[in-house]
Amino acid sequence: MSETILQVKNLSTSFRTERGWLKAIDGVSFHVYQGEILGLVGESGCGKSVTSQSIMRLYDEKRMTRYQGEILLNGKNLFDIPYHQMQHIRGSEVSMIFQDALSSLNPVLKISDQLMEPLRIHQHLKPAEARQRGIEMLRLVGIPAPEERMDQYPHELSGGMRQRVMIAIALACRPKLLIADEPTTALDVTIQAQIMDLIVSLNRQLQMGVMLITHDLAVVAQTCQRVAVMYLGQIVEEGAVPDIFDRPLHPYTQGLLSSIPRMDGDRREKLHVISGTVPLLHQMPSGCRFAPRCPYATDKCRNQMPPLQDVPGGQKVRCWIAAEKEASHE
Amino acid sequence: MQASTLNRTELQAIRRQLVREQRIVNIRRFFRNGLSVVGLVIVLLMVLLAIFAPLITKALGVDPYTSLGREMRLQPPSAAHPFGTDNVNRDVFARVLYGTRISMTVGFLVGLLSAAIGTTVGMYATINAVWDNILMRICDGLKAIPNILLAITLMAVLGANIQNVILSLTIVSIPGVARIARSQALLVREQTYIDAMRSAGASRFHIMWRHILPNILSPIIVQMTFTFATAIISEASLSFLGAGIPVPAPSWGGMLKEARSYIYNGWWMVVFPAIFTGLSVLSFNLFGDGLRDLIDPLSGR
Repeated sequence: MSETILQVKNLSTSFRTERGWLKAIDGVSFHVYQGEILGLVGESGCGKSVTSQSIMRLYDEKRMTRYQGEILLNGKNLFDIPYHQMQHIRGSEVSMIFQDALSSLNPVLKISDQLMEPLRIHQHLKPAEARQRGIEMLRLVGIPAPEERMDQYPHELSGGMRQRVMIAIALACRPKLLIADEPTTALDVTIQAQIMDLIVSLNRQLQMGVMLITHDLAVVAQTCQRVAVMYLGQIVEEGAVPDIFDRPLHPYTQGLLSSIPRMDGDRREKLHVISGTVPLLHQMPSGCRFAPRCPYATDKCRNQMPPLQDVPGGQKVRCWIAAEKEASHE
Repeated sequence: MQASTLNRTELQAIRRQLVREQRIVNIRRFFRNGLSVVGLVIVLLMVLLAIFAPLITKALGVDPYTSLGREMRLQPPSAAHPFGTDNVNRDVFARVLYGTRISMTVGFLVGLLSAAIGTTVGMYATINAVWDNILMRICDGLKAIPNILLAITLMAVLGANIQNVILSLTIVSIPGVARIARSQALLVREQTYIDAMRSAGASRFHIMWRHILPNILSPIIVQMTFTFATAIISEASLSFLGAGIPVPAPSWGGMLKEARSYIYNGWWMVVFPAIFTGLSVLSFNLFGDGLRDLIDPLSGR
């Protein structure tokens, strides 16, 4: 495939709390190629958003947060850059759109002011040029009558429009990587589909890498080329979308996929549930993190943390049993 | 029926019309509150009096400083001297009018300066915990001393003149504004749009001045009108205590101080400066209340 834009190696992010340092994500590794959409899925609180905000280095690093590992953006480690230089990277090389479309725009500033800002910060455009580019961007994200929209305030636009404006702001400087953190959560279903279509078509048009964070497996199946599944701050399985959906290896992925209600399923049967609950971050099991909820767990699983291993066929899985079984197939 | 494809100019016209209507609704909302309108009218009147004081006194042929001669000592109000004359034979009306200038100047400058400095202090306190502690503990320290006492101390150190009155009252008023600015900025800072702007590459100071400031401005403007009223009363108190504007200058507080000794044989010397002081403070407070209701219609109902 084409070149790698983002490579995350062994990323851990810890936060300082009253109970000491808590590792919200622990040894996360993945990569995003140019022009592809990588899905990052997992349940609430598993560290998807922490991963994305760590890539942007949006956390307060002086006192509350500690990072370990490497984030290579075009081969350059973002953790080697001084913190105050990150603002030159944000918005020009990596951009992010947030889940809360309704409150991602400053209510007291016009659309034009907010849309022109990254252009003026990063590309030092003059107001007239920036305005022109802003109008082009609004047209690109499918906003009708962009000249009028420029002079409106966020409250005059609908939720879907606002998310389109956010996408326009994020893409104004043509970043190589777009992080979309549940971009459709705050929107209703028909608008969700439109926004996802927009992201997919812009991904093709601009040949940028997209990291799509979601908990919606249907969205992943429709839009992503590859997917990484997260559980409790770790990636438990990674691979191409068709492979993972056809042949999930990790018991957690299997559980997730069988929890999807199906049109052709037996209506009398209850929906599959992954038993147990997510353990708290400070009561982490010592072995495999999924072991307490896993139907196949052995003593080895409970005592030893499995590594994320390559298995034949291009998938990666963090499971002793699945990795062994796949290796023996060979 | 015709297809409803409005062209761009028609759409713009509709939009402009809506904006205009909203503005009218806002203005109407302010004017529905009778008291705040009274406040606004008196405020405007005071400002006009302050601006045109020299013209008015000239037209009446009076002057706040010159003695009218021995026979004019402590004369009660009359057609020529509507507010009477004082113990050193000066026209009280002219002096009250010139007092308006002093009070309005002090009020305006203290309001503006303390809002500007207080907002800056409050916003910088939200940068990190170290700044927060340093700036806010200084503010706490200033607040711990009673305002008038602190102002008198500052005046004693700096020397009595109008610039120093403004300076010391500004110092006294800064902590109040800084607290409001800080608390508002802390709220705004947590909003998604601030994260969104950070992820678009805006620097911390850019975010502070361009994104946080406009969002916290309205409560600060309301606070400014109250600071205004407080500054007028504080200036009067300082002058009354003899720590404010030095004597020949016609400040209301200073006039009351002199009038104190003549309260039984020259009531007009006490009553007119007192009415003006009270009226201006009251009107600024009423106006401020109206502004606050306009900005946040749910509060105080």
